[in-house]
Formats: sequence, C-alpha cells, structure tokens
Amino acid sequence: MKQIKQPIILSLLLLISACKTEKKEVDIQEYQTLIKYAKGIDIQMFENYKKLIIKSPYPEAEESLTYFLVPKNEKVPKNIKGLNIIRTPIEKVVVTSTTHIPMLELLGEEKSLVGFPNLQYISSTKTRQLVTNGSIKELGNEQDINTEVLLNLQPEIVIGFSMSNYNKMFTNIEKAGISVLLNGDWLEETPLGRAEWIKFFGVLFGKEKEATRIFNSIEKQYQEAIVIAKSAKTKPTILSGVLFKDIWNLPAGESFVAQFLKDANTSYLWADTKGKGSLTLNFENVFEKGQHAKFWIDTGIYTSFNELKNANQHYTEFDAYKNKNSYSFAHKKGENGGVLYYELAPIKPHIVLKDIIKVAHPELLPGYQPFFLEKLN
Amino acid sequence: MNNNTSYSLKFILLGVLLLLCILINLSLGSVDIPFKSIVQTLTGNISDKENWHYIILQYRLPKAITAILVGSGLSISGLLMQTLFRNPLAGPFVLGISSGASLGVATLVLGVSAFSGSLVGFAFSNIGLALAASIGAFFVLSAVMLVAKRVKNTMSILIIGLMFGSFTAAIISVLAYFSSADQLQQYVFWTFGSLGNLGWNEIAILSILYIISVSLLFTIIKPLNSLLLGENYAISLGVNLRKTRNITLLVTGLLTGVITAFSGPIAFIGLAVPHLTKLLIKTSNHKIVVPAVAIIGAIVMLVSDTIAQLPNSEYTLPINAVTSLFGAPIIIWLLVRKRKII
Repeated sequence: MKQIKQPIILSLLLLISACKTEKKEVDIQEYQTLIKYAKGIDIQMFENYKKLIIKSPYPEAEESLTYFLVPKNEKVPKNIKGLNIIRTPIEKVVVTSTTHIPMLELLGEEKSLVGFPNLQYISSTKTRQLVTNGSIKELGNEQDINTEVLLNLQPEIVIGFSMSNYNKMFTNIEKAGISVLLNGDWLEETPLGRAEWIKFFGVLFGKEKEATRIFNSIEKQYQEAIVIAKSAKTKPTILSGVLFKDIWNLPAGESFVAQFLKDANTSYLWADTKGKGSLTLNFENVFEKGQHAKFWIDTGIYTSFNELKNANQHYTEFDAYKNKNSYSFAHKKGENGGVLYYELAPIKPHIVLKDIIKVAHPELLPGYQPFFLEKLN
Repeated sequence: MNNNTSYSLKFILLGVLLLLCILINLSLGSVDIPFKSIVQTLTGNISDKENWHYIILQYRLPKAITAILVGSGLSISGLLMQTLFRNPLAGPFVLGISSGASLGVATLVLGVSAFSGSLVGFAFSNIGLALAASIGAFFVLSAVMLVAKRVKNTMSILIIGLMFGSFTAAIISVLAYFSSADQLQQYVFWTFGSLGNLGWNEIAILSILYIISVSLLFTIIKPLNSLLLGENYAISLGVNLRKTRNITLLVTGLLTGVITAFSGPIAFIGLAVPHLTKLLIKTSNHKIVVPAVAIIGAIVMLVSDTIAQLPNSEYTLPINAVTSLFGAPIIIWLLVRKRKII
C-alpha cells in the first residue's frame, strides 16, 4: 500500500507545483531555447535564471521535471521562489553513468566529481587519475548506492537515471536533502540529440557557452560527414550484432546504430524494423538475410576472427567473415579494460559516423584514421 | 504374453510419433522452407537454395538431435530419482546438479569480471560455459555423494540436495549483486536454456556421455524394480542397495550434468515426463518404462522446441518457458487427481 501511495502523492505534488509554475510565470519575458536536436530536454534562458526541463526523465514519461537554475551570487527572482531551485555553478556532483564522465572532462569539470558507483568502470584518463589519487569516492552499486558514503560526501546534486517514475533509492537521497536530477540522455533517438545533452551539464556548471561551442563543433563535423557519405556511389549491405546462445541480438531499425548506418549511406539489412532497442532474432533468420552482407559492423565483444569462430562455428559461413570484412567497436579499452566506445561514443557521434564511412566507403575519407571501429584481428 | 503385444504396439506408435515429430521439427522454423526442400536436403540432394541447405543440416538437424538427447536424458534422470527417492516430486535436479551447474556458470560469467581480457571470449563460448557447468555440477554432486555415504536414509539425501541448492543460490545472488547488466544478461540467458547452439563436435561429446550413462543404467534395471517395493524389501531380495544407489546417482549426475552443461537448466521435463509416461503405460517395470520415458521425453522436447521457434516468425521463445508451460499444468493435474503416483 505504501508503495502505491507514494508515487501518487509525488505526482500530486508535481501536479501542484506544475500548476503553480504556470500561474507564476504568466508575466514572464521572452526566452531563448538552447536546444536544437534533443527531444528529452529543454533549456530556456531567461534574463536572471534558466529553466531546465527534463521532458523524458524515464521511459514513456508523461510528465516532465522542471528545475530553475539561479547563479549562486544572485538572489532568487520573486516569480520562481519556492519552486525547484538549483544554485549554479555546481561545485560538487555525483554522476552515475560512465557516459557522463567524458562530458565532464570536455567541460573541464572532472574535478567537481566527488563520487561514482562502480569506479572500476571509468576509463577516461583524466578522471581515472583522480580515481587513482583518491579524490573520487566509490559509492558501491549503481542500483543501490551506499547512502551513508554519499551523505558524507555532501554533493549538491546527484545525476541519476531511472527506469520509472518511482525509484526508492533516489527518493531516499532526496529525503536527505540532496537534489536528484534524472538524466534521460540514453532515451534520445538520434546521435546528435544525445550528444546535445552536454548542454545539460553545461548549464549546471554555468558553462553553457562552452557546452554550446563543443556541441556546435560536433554537429558541424557530423553534418559534414553525412554530406561526404552521400557522394558515395555504392550502398553496401550491413550485418550487425552477434549470437548469444541461439538468439541474435541486433540493433532495431529506429535505434542509434541504425541511424549511424543510415547516415553513413549504407544499407542496413534490418533498417525497416520497428523499435529503438535491439531485435532478438533467431539464427535462421539472420543467416538467410545476412549471409551475403558485405560488411559486418559491431561484432559485440569479439575482437578477432578466431574468437568468433570459437564462439560459434556458424559465424564462419557469413561472407563478411570469409572475406574478412568484419569490424568491432570493442578494440580500444581503458586502463581497467572497459570498452572506450561505450563511454565515449555518446559524445563523439561524429567520430563513430566517420569510422563507419571509412569502412563502408574508404575512398571518401582518405587519410582518416578510425578511432572506435577496427577490423577484427 | 498379451501384455507384451500391447506394449510393443504402444512402442511402435510412439516410434512413429517420434519420427513424425522429428520431421515437423525439421520443417518448421523462422525461415519458411518448403517440405520438398527439406526432404531433398535430408536425402542428400542439393536443395534450391544453398543457405537453406546450411540451415537444415547445420542448424535444424543438430538442434533436433540435441532436443532428443536432452529430452530423453532428463526424463530418464527424473524417473531414476523418483524411483530412488520413492518420491513423485523428485526430479533430475534434486541432487543439486542444476544449482551446481548454475554456480559454475555464474562464477564464470559473473565472477570473471568482463574486464579480464582473454577470458572474455572464453566465458562467452559454448565450451567455456559447458566446462564451467560440468565442473560446478560435478563439485556439488560429489559433495552430495560424500554426504550420502554417511547417511543411510535416502530421504535425507533428498533434503541435503535441496540444501545444497539453496546454498549455491545464495552464492549466485551475491555474485549477481556485484555484476554489470551485461554479465547478468549473459547469465539469465543461460538459465533460459537453449538447444540451438551446439555444433557437431559438442553433440558428439553429449552423445558419448549419454550412451555411457544409459549402458550403466542397464546394469541396474532389475534392482531398480525391487527398490520400488521399499529399501528393506529390496535388501531382503538380495539387492546390493549401496551399489544400486551409487550407480543411480552416477548415471543421473552424468546425464543431467552434461545436458545442463550444454543446454542450460531445462525445467520440468525431468519431473513431468515420467508421470506422463506412467499414465500412458501402466506398469512400473523399468525394462519398459525406461525406453518409454526416453521416447516420450524426446517427443515432448521436440514439440516444445517447435513451439519455441514460433514457426515463420522472426522471434523465438526461451525453451524453458515452453517446457514449463507443458510441465506445470501436468503436475497440477496430477495433484488434483490425487492419483497414487509412484
């Protein structure tokens, strides 16, 4: 009963606060929005505060979460008093996903990170150094953060992610007076949309200009790469993913990877399928469709032809295996062995795209050295 | 005499049914292959499309053979356990074999952190998983056997097996708690069971161990029949109880261990098929029940696999979900009927 009650009360509170916001902001000024691609976030720049709206804090969210960001050296404007206020710039933060680490580093804010769950997963070098010298504390399991250690660290905010509107752990943290911001970057539908979430961190650290500059450069390079790819004369067919037991996991037609493959002017064999996540298909099906695919992009954890063969004899029957046209994102690893692609790719979509173009249309990017995507050994 | 002819008639029927199930299993899958091409391929001719040829001979055929070995092996093990413990709820996994195998796999997949380079490929390969599962199963089984040596009462062995089960489950949850989502997924997928990823080499290993176990079993068919009358009665009939018990445990351990190693812990088959068989063939004579259980086990597994493939769709169901859908209603039905089920 308790468990049912709490979300109801929470959502009621949210409703009330939402109503309040509207009433109070009737007389407000013009504002500029900072967001171009991302669908799950809006950052509205008002004269003396910024409004941060997380539209998709968790999957299928119906209500958005709104925060008002006011610089620490200024007074909270009257019209937003009593609402969700965050004072910026943030000086002590806890993030819970490794994909956020490179964003902090790009903004030069890795030193603001005081704690992280599962430190061993961090690969980014600057932050790794801080872990080694002990300035970032271990918080335990990401699904079950050690609350005592967290409280002791006294971060101003915790940036988490959640599968639903009720998360016991975050509710507990909020009870202790630490704001929890739910980051929904992983729910974005396009690579550029996801990279744009660097502005989320930018605005929290009072560095929205830097964030915008970084993003604009990513955007420019991404768009340029699309144009380059368009000039290709061929459109090679692509197979992706690997088997686990008898299920073949491959990216669905509306997923990130499928978007990359489309932008790289290739013909992904499952481009027409529905869904943003992954498809779980039967071997027979993948074999019939993908046996003659020109390239095999993303062979999961396998980084050599031998590993593939040992894992399953069936792999050797694919043309992309026979002709050595198979590529993996998992070659580059961090100090602790974590695959760099998982940590860095969200903020480097232009590199991922160029890597794929280099594989599918090598003549278009002469001299380009791929970063993530490499041929199997 | 009359009895014997009725049995052979039943066996002929079961044999025909088995063949039919094999054919159906081979002809239905995600990819729609016409029956004509299936027959052509099986009779050694080249079928219309080269990749159909590969799908039938290298994917569906090994899968069907695995289904037969797994289904019959688990059912025989289940029957043996039910006879030995004289308990209708005993199954191939009561000795802690599946928990042992799960522990082995969990230690490999969850314990070996995804970060230790060269081991990763190994942890994800069939042989790696099979080896870990076998070692785990063997480890727990020998622990149970060691204890069994000191314990006279067969019921206590049953309980000790269950205790080992909870013990290993506890270790697995500790491991699971500290592992990443990827690793957990690996492990969970293993527990779903699968028939379709064995190559011919692995099937050869599976078959050899299967044949060894079944040959061992033939040496204790008679004592098993006497065991049904109760341990004391069996002893008075001159049965070497300890030897019979040890061979039974060994056969079950080998069969279940190797099957679980290659195809994951497949639920319910071992528990449900012996009951199903005894409904069809009303005798407790192991000479008749063992082959019948083997054939019916194979049939049930083939049918389950055919359903799991969701013919003509791109998706598949985990085999464990399908077998349990079969098994659970049967067990419930039996309990409701309150039939004497030994």
